[in-house]
Amino acid sequence: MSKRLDDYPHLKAYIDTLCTLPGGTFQMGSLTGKATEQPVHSVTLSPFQMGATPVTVGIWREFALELGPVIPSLSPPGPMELRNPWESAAGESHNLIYPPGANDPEVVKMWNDYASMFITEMPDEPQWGWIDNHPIVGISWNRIMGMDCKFGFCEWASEIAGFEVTLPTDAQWEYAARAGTETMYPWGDEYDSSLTWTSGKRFADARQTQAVDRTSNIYKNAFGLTDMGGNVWQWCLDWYGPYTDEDQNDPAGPAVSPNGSKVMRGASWVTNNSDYVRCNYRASYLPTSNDDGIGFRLVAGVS
Amino acid sequence: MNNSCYNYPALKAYVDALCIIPAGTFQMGSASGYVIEKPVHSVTLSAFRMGETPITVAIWREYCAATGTTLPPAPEWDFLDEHPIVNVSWNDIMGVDGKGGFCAWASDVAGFPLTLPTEAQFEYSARGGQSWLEYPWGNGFDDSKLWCSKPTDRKSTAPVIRPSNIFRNGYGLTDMVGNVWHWCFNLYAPYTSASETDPIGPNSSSDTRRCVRGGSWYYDDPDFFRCANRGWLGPDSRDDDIGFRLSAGPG
Repeated sequence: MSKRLDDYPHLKAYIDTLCTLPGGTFQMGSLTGKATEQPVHSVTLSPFQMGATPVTVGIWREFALELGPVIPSLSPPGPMELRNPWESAAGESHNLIYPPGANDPEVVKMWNDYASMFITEMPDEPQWGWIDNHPIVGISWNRIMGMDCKFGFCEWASEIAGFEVTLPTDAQWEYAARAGTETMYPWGDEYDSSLTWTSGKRFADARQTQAVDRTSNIYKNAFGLTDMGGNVWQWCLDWYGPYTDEDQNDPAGPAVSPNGSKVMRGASWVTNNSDYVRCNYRASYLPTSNDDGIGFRLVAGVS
Repeated sequence: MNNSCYNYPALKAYVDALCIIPAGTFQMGSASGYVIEKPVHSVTLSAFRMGETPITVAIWREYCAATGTTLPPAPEWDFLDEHPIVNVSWNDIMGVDGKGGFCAWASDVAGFPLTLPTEAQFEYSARGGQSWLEYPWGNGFDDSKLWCSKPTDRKSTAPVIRPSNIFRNGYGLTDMVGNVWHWCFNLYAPYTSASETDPIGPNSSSDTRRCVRGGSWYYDDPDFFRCANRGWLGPDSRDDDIGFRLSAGPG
């Protein structure tokens, strides 16, 4: 069963609209920012592609419907019907082809247990429910990268896209957020709550995520990227660690993390501190954790 | 202790000015709003009374003096008698485990139960009898009719009696949006489509947050000032933009 990008309209739309970012050198970090943003150091990046928006609920639904690689299941007398975990398409199921001669119940159970590790599901729904054009939330770094399951999101997306897609590095994210500027926020040096979707006074008083294609409380930078500050925090590839002052090329972060966490960037609908919306701000979170304010976007290479 | 209401002129004035809200049925929620405001559902309420304004600092001072309760921390602009009281939690108002709290004192003084409005009572009375309108005054946001940070950032609450940035609705109530968020009685819960009569919310919940309504001086996003807008906070929360008003039976 070969998978064509055309069969996954949400993923296809995301891949078709990847922004191409030129290679370049920038100063990563901030002299006036937090200790975690220092020392400022020079980073040179190869060109890369980046999702224009966070990955959406619609795309993750396509992933959740998928059964992963075709695993032959054995179940006499006929094909086993696996119920689709996402029940919006009532009665939809995946029929699998079985090798002949399999009639040992023990073997059947073993194969079916193995197959079940490939079934993916939607995470727990946030309070506002699943809305296709909102960022997906509630997904851990591990689930995206396939670290605690047999089949992570990026593996699935890469197979269908026909090229590798993955999470941005810490450096790629900051470079992309800056889009050639040196301003404090993506849009300039003054905080402007009308250009982002975050909470105002208290944690989470913005109530929920917002649609990635909305027309207000949004800012598109010079690279064509939106929601590089606000809406959802975004996982990065790197382990979180202090900067060093050496010049770097395409850095991927420390080999080991002092706090066992992965970098997270961009602030969210939950946060009520404009500090987090700055291009330089770095947060971190355990890769096993998830939250209804954390999502991600994809990057790919440039061929 | 003589708990006659004549010892507490600010509370007495507030109780004397309670507005009568007639019984009725309205559509609670918003079909065009946030997901948490759906589904729109029919609610029928018995007649009740509602404070005309938020409870003021002056009234809260009477409570403190009468009961030996300490004033909460003052906001940056200090406690000014004619402003809404702020920095008070749901527990401060309703007491804990049925004991203490502002409403217990106020009820004792008034001689009848005074309490927080339910979420349904708040929305119904905010709508002022024209329950199909998005804002208390109509369908368009109008920054001259409330005290909020549009078009100018505000730095404090506003006195409950003031000549501008105020709107008195069809039930005689002011500051039902803007100025301070109002604590409601209810535990927060999602809506269902079932029609309800005098709903008070769940009896208990793993989610201990209580509903707040109305938005406050701090916000500049008109969304916060729609009648259907919902908020929710832990019962111990205190902030310089959260206050309350009282409700009572029909009398």
